[in-house]
Amino acid sequence: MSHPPEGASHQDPGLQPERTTLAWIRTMLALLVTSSLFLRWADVHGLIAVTPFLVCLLVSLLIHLSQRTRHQRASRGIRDERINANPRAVGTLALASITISALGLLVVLIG
Amino acid sequence: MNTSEESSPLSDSDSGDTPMATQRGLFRAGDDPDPRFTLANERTFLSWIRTALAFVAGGIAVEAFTQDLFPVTVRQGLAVILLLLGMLLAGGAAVRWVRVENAMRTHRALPIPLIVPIISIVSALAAGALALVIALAV
Repeated sequence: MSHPPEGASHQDPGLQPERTTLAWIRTMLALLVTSSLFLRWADVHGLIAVTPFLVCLLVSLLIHLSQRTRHQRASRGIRDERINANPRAVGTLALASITISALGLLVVLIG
Repeated sequence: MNTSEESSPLSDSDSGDTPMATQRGLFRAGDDPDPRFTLANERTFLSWIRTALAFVAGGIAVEAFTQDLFPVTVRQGLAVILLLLGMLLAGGAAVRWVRVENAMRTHRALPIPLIVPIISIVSALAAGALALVIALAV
């Protein structure tokens, strides 16, 4: 791994920022696995299955791009002993997951 | 100020003293919880999202990979149930996150997740139904 970002080291022995970053990585992996299943679905249902596949990929990319910032914020939050909750990330991910399952439902019902 | 801080919808909100408008509307006034609890709440939300995605993946798998095993209606029905559950779990995860964050801010007891007993019962029923279908098909 690369060096930790400057000024963002924290003292939390519970390693909360690391664990939270890992949780996001695991979620991104789950999205990628789900996306690949949608791609396999394309054999059965054709190109309409490509849409949820692309949504999964897009969300995974967004998570990946924001990882570093997220880790820095978490580290600073531990160090400063306060952190803002992140309703935007939570809402976006929940909405994306709902959209993905809705697209899946659509493919099942009309395919 | 780093201009890339606000660019991605999934990066953290501003860590300054002024809470964002969404937070003012979303959370009741109260004390900021220990940052470790906020992070733990976020990780729990992510765990629920991954569970929801597992149900979605299961729905896709049942629909796409069991062509010869089940009749069409059973296959589609199972797929729809699993996908619907995935959708409900994803929405419930966000609701749970807000409720827990509010409970922490106002020093109340954390809400009991309603989804846990529901999932257990539904999973047991689904497994039982699956066993029945396979036994009848043999």
